[in-house]
Amino acid sequence: MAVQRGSADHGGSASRRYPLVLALISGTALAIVGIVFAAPALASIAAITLDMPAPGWLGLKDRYLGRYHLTYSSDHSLVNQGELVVFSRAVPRQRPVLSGVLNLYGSDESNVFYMTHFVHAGIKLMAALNLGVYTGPVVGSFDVMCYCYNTMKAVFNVQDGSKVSLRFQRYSANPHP
Amino acid sequence: MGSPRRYWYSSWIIAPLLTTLVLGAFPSIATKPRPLGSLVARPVAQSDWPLFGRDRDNTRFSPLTDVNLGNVRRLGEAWHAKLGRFQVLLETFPQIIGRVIYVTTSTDEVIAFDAISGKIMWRYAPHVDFSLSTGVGGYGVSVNRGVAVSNGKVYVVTFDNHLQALSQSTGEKLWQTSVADPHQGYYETMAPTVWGGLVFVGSAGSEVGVRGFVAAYDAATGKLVWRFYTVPAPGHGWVPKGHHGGGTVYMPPTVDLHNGLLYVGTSNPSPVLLGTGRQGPNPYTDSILALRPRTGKLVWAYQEVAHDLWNYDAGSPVVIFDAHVKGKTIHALGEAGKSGYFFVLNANTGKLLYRPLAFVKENHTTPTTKPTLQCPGTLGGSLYSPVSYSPLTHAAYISGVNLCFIVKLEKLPPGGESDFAGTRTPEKKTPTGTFSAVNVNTGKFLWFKTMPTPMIGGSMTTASNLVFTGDQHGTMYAFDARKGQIVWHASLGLGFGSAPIAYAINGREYIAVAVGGSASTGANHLGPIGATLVVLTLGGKPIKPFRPIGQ
Repeated sequence: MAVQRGSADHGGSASRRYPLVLALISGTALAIVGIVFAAPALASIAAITLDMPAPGWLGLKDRYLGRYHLTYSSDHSLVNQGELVVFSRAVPRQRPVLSGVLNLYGSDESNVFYMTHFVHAGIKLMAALNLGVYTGPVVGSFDVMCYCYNTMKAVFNVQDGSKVSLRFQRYSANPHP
Repeated sequence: MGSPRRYWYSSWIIAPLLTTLVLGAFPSIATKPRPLGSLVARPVAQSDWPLFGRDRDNTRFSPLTDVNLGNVRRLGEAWHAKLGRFQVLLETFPQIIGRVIYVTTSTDEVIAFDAISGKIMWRYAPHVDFSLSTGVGGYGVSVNRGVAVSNGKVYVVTFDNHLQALSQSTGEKLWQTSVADPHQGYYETMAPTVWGGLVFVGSAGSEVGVRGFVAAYDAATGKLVWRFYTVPAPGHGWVPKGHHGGGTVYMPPTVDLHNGLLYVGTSNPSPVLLGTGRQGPNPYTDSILALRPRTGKLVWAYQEVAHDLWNYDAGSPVVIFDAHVKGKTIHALGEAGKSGYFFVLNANTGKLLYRPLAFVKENHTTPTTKPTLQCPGTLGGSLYSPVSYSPLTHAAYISGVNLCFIVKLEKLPPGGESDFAGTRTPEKKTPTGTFSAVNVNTGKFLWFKTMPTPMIGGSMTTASNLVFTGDQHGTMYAFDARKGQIVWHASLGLGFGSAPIAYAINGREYIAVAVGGSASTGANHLGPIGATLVVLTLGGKPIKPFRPIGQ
């Protein structure tokens, strides 16, 4: 015997179920529409959040501490040999700060930069390059594009807009031989 | 038997030959300073500045008179050279021999410029590991105060403790020798001194507890001839066990041609602020030492500050002069220390001639675990600033720093200035400076000026009674040496970490100075910094301030 739809008993439960289903479907549709329209805004927010640099370099400090030889430079007149040392620098009344000394030797010049303000944005690692002393003027940034198997691929971004690609190979985990 | 006439002719050949041989064998005789009477005011075709302090007495006195009180306002720029795209802080003291100016950069490069055109003749860029003293925390005090030039070679000391000899004509490295171990905290900032076939060097690093020394190396080969340690080894004498010591020598030693002595000024003992573990006066620290230059044997010592607790090095190079005291002419020397006092001693005996004169504000007490204000502070008084001396005014011209520090005894973590035994912070008050003239015959001020910034680079005096110096804002001054009035000033735009020099070529006088700020200028943000060599001359182009790095 077929169940008659619309009977009082059956009609009562059916009438509660359908509005609920309709509400669910409507709500889902609305949500999808909302996401489609709001996606660009959400993406922007996500992007802004991800790009904000956070202190330190990703992972354990020990991963980066040590001494590195320069193995590649895209500007041989400015840099054809170099040494990088990353170490924990003692600062009175503060925790030790990740710091670096970047020696870059060119064909007729010898430069040293003091690395401070180690930060990361996503997987990108960055440090400021100071001249003279650790609190000296910042003349550029050292941006590590990739750190794999003790090899550091970086870009020396000078404030005047010029860039030099560098590659360093870590040969000692001890910054103080 | 030969004719008497033949013998008479041969004496005209033999006498000059013998004279040349004698002068060559005794370089001290050949290079003795000229007596005052020979300072005649006439145009000089060529006048060099061949030594750190121009002459062996270290007076920084130029005999040139073309630039004088009547025309100094006509000084303008002859040429300038920026020393490098990434160069900053200049404590180099230029020297000029022939037509070539030699300067160093803070990364130990040596540059030879044509002194008239400013063209680079050669540039030597050593590979220096500035991280090797990371035991110091790598706190970045890489400055270089210049070279020494002698016998076809240019001598330079690098931050990582190498003494190098370069060819004077090409800049090619001829030899290199290690002076000290940078892993122990030693580092170098000094210009060496060369005399009699020897190169004299010391080191820096007393805040890290290194054991101070001065050493002599063979100028031809770089072989060590002698080393004199200024303090005992750790655990011996007054030096506590552990990495302690001090008494470093970081400015060029002065050779005294009159009495055959070598003078050095030494730095503080360490631990710096904490004296409980190093009882007694801690001899030979904060002292002027007189040694025999051939052997390093100590002849006499005068200690300026006994049991130092404030970092009061006898840092500036010793200057030699005659002092006329109570009717007697005394062969004397002077030194202006970080203590803020000017000391004048009998150069033969080391005895104090008169009471030391304070040229900056003095107010210091024993450091404690609570913050206390110390004046002058650890970077006050006279840093490494060379004193100049004029035989015309009988005055020594002294650069002073009024910079007080708040110090506090604290246990420091390893690394950094680990043997400082505490912390130091400059007081918030704007630091000032002093520039003064002290009559060396009386020990009193001839005149005294308070300056708007610390005065660090030192000065030069001239036979036209001018004194040239500069401040941390980049203002270069010419003072009337007798009266102290400022007769000329110009803004070069970069702090002075060095002093001017004067030279003449083809009868024209030039005044050169390396500007860019000292290490203290950079570390304490005292003024604009950069790295430029500028040469001035009468009737030169209008002087425009140089743009600092970071702007």
